[in-house]
Amino acid sequence: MSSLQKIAHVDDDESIRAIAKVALERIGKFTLLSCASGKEALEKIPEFAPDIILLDVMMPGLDGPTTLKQLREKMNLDETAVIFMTAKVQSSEVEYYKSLGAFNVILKPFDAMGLSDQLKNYWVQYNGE
Amino acid sequence: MDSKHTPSTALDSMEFVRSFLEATPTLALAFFGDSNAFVFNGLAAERLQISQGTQYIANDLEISISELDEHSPLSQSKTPWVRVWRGEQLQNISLKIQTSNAAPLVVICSGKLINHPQNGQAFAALITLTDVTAQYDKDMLQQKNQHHLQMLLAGTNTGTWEWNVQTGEIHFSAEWSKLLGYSQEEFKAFNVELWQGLHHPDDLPQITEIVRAHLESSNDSFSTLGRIKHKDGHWVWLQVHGRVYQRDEHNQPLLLAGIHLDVSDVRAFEKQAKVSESYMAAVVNSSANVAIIATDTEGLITIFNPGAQSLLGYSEEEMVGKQTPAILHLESEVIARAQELSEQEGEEITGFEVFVHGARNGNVETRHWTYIDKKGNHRKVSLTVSPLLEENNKIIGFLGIAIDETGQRQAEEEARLAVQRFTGAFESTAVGMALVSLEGRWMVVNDALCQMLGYSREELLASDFQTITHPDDLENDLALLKKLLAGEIPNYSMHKRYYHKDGELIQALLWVAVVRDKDGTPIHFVSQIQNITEEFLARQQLESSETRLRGLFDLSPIGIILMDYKTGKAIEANRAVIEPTGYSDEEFFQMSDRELTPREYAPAMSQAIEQLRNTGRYEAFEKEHIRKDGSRYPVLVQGILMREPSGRQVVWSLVEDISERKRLDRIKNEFVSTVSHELRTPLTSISGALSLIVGGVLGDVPDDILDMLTIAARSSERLSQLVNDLLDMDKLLAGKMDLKLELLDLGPVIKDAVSAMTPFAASHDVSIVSTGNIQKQIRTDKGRLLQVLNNLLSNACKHSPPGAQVTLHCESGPEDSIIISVIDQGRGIPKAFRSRIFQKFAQADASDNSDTQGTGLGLAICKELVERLGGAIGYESTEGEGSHFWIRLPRAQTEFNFAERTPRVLHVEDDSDFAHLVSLQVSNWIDMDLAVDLSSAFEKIRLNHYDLILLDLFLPDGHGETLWETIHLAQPDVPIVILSGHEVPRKLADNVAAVLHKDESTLTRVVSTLHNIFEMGEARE
Repeated sequence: MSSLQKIAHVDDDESIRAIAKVALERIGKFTLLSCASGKEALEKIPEFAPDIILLDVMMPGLDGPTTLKQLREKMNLDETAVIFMTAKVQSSEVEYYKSLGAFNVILKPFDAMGLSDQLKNYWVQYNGE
Repeated sequence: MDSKHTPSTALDSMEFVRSFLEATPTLALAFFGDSNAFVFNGLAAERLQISQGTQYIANDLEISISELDEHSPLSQSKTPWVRVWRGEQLQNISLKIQTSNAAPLVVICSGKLINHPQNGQAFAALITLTDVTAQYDKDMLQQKNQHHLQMLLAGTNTGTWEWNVQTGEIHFSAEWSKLLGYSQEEFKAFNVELWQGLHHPDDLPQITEIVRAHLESSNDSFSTLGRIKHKDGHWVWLQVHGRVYQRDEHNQPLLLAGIHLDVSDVRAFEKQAKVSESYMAAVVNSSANVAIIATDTEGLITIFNPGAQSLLGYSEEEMVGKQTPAILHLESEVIARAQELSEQEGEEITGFEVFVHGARNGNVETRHWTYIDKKGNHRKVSLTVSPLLEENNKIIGFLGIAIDETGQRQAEEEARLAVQRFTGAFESTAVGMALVSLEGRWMVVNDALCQMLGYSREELLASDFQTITHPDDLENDLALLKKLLAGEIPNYSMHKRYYHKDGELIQALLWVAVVRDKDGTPIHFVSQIQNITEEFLARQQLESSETRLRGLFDLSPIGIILMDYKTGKAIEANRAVIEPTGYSDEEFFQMSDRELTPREYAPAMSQAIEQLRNTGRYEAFEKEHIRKDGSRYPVLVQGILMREPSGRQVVWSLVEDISERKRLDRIKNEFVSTVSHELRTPLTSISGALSLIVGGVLGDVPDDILDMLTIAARSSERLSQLVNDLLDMDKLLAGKMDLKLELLDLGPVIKDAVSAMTPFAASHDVSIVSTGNIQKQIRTDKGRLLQVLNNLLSNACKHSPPGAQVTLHCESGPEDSIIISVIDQGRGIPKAFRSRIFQKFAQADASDNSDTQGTGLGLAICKELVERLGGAIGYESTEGEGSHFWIRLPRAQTEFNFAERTPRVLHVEDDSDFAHLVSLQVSNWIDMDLAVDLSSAFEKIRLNHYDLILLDLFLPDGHGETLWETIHLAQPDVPIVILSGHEVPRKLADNVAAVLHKDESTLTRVVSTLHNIFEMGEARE
């Protein structure tokens, strides 16, 4: 298993992106690609080829699931852990997202301090601990 | 004188006359009226001493003719010849004729007129004269004798008779004739046959026999009685005396003579006496209603008739010969009457004399007395006493006739009472009553009517019903009266309105009948008038309230439907039910509830029907209705079963169209979802940013700024938690919390929980240790279980003092359950807070939030979640010694069937002997568990599910109330029965299923109480 290095974060909310950037770059020392929309994600992520994609569900234009779907058409995500971020907590929704190929769901509000550790854990899990 | 010999000429006539005269064997003469001349035959000329064949002029003729017993001659015009000449026909007239030359002759004279053959005029009167002089003389002698006899018998109603036995001729005296109402002439030619015919057929044989015997014998005379018919037709009783007084040469009876004495009066008297006697006897003996008692002059009873026997109950034998009034009369009455009489008469009158005093003086007296019959009953009688008199008016006894008045008096009394009652009823009844004249005038009115109409009796009687009748009702009333008078209807009743004196309208029910005399002519009306104003108004009110309810029914936005329980067909349904279906009313009422409901709801419907049958109502449940166009819409229905007066069972249901509510739910869900998202996103930013700064990720921050930022970070965390809890609670209460059950290893879950809480525990300087056996699998929702554990752990951390330890302990429970405990070393749960511990927004001490930050929703959410996961939550806490929260979860979600399981009861009781006794009583149907102190009771409760707790209050290690609190709050469905020898606090007694006091009858009451609770429990399932 390669160590977790590259994380792509897609969220339309600028402040969330800023916090995630600090939390992941400063605490986790990851290489971060921040995208402000699904469209931007589709443009940049294939080239960036992240280990983990943090994908916000609710976004104007392309929402998270659609972005994931189109992204999957553009690139091979077999090695990539897709994790949705959402404020919705219905377990049925979690199921739904997983059925779309998401590895896990992180609920908002997330713990900024612990986010890097949390992703590391997921990365370990994802790679079949 | 044969008509064939009528001559044809005058000459011939003369010749005929001459030859007739000569041929006549008796004296004969012809009288020629025209010439007033006579011609006699030879015989006549000889006897009358005149020349034969000489024609004499009447004037020249010395001849006188007279009646037999008269001496003066008949006047010319009365002579037989003149009478014949004038057209009279004479026959057998006895006359005396005399000429100057001869002795008078007694003759029987007959005559006939011969007319002239040519002119038809009278020619001659031919007279024949039979000489009976000798016979007459003889008769006269006899007559003389008879006359003497007649003189003798005259005035004694005695008739005489004479019977020639050989010729059968009978002669009667004039008196005799008179006796029988005939004239003597009528008996002239009388014979024995006619005579016999007059006799009464019953008497004839006897008389005939007697007379025959007399004729054959040599008796001097005979005498008998017999009846002979009077000319009027009635019978005359005759005493007959007779004897033979002349015999012929052969000594055979020739003449029989005798007298008839009229004895009718005697006979009638005798007969009357006989009739009276038998009539009396019949009356005396046959009258059952009239008591007849006769006495002799001294009061000894001689007659005691059947009427008396039946009245008084004594037999004839018992009473005849007894002294009256001895036993028959009420003594007090006799004494009272005796005093009265004595005073009146101035002499002492007592005993029997009291009754007959009047009768003795010739008065017939009737008085009321009381008889005493043999059984001692009193009989009111009217007693009439009269004297029995001989012909010389001497009193030979007394006759008392008593009429039983008891019945009569009773009837009179009843009649009187009936009148009284009617009058009473008339006056006292609350219904107005009146007699009304045919014109409508009030004749008699009762108080109720006066009161009803507000008039005095006088005012009312001066008026008529028309005046106070509402004009709109008058026509109808009068029409009915007319029909009533015509006999078309026997009576009538109607609802009509009268005016009260004060002008108010009175609603009344009128009933009228007509009273007619015996000829059927109407006399007056009888009316009953009932004031139904109140009922009328009540009915109107009812109608209007019905109208209002109907309005409510029709306008209600919630569907209301009345269905037949049996058929499921709608009986009534309002718009809110029918309209959404799209069917017309007609179509709708043709459909049953089942046709309206999609098939998949059949089980729910059956369940509802089951509930209706068992409890009379069914709980609200959601189903759908199918519209006419096939589309569906959701409804919420609930209802009750009712039995109508007719016995039909009907179901009232509320049918709420919840399409809109569903839509709103959806909107709300979306709203909540949106809000939570929208809230959480900025919250994420705030708390993320703050935590990064405070965490020193972005470098050092001056201390005073860091303090502020720390406060902001903590508050944002709390705000995030609050939002989460609110959303959770909302979902839980709405039943929207989705559970994702999966088979899990317990270990990783516990580790997750510990590791997730470790940073928080560290921030409170608390350590979390996991103990017990975690090598288990459990089927549950991991996320929810973690949520519960996090909650309990964070509570424990928050309430622990610094440096303390929080223990997360896992153990297996019986019945394949897992118990997870969170034990802290904090202050324990304050007593005052326990009653609210699982309530929403409850916090132990709201004023102290320095180390107890939370939303107050945590435990409420935990309880909801645990119960949803099929488990139970509880706690044990001693203030100052920490708390022990536990959850018990089934290892697998199993179908829970109460009815088929033996109930499990925990008996908390330090007297184990007593507990054993109780357990023996119910061992065959209850699984009884014993806890001898509080701590083991908590232990048992934590480990096991119990269906009931039997709780003693005073236990070695505390009061049972502690146990009650936790059970009552954490598992309110588990009934608690307090079984104690001490007084039970009111607060406790009111909140348990039952309170039983320990005494001698405890055992049986425990059994029956448990029985009742479990029976009801089963019924509820």
